[in-house]
Amino acid sequence: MSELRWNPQLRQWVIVAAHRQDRTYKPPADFCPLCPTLPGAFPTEVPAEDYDIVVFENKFPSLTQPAPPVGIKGSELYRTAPAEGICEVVLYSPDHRTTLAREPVRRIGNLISVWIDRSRELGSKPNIRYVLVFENKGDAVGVTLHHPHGQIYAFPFIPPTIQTELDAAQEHHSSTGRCLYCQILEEEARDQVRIIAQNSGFCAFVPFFARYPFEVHLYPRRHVQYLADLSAAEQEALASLLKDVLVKYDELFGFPLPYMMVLHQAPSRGEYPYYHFHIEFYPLNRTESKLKYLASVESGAGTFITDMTPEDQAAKLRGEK
Amino acid sequence: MVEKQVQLKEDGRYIIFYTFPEKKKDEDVIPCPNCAGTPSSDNG
Repeated sequence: MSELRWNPQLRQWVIVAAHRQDRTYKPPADFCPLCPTLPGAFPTEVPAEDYDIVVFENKFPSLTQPAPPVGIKGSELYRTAPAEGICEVVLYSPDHRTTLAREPVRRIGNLISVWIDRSRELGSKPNIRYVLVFENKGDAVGVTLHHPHGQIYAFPFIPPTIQTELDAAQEHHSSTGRCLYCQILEEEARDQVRIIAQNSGFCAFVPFFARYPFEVHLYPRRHVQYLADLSAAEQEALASLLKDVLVKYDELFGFPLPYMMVLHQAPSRGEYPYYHFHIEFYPLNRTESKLKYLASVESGAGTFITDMTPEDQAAKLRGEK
Repeated sequence: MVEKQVQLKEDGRYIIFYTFPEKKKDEDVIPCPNCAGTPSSDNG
């Protein structure tokens, strides 16, 4: 079904999941598989007439536990491995038409506690090294189901972007004795111009080095490695600031802004005292009708070109321009 | 306290229902600092 193939050029794993080609693609709202199952109606993924927040195993997972045997013979150069892991779907609400931005802070807070519960449980399972909580929202990002939902991938390896961040954070800590992310927070607090919203527990800003249009990062003010490290007050602060950022996104062009939201936590096993939990948003709209494409320079060279300064992006998100 | 109920679907996949206690309606309403005493929804 799925397998891992090692890319020796970039030194990273690729998940080959050919069965996902046939997954459900944009069904009409009347046949949404993520809505509750109503009496007499077709059975959906949720065998209940109503629900609050639901998590279930993805029907078309990229990673499974136990993983099937690898379907191709590799070599010393062409390494392969079983696609061991878990893929979950998180339904935010039974309401098909809502979005996270439209939900009250209380429900966002409830969702955070579900993220914490799943991160703990999945991270404690054998062979799991990293738990990635994320949301793909909107056609522009390629979502196949419009019902408000996020996903969780429990990986058998540390994904390369996270590994790069870990390496950078460790090196910075070794050379300066300081947390890279705490120092970024200080720089943003000093400059002010890229901050779009903040409260006692968290700060949201367009980073100095933003790659995507209207990219926003949310950092906790306290140096913590995991979502589960947040106090109850910090979880409330995060829910409130997430709501604030999501509303700003939807107000930017007057429609629900497509985005990718990714929670960056430390790996499930090991000690990473130099890392700093945070959330990153990557929208794709550079204007109301124009999208940012990851073209040759981005895809082929790994260098992003942005068409607008992060300072201008932050001002627009604050509603100033 | 959140209620967590785990079920198995017909095809063997698990599904977890998280049910949170409903707060009273006025708990979702926070006082607006700009208009003393006038409530403001947390929906922004």
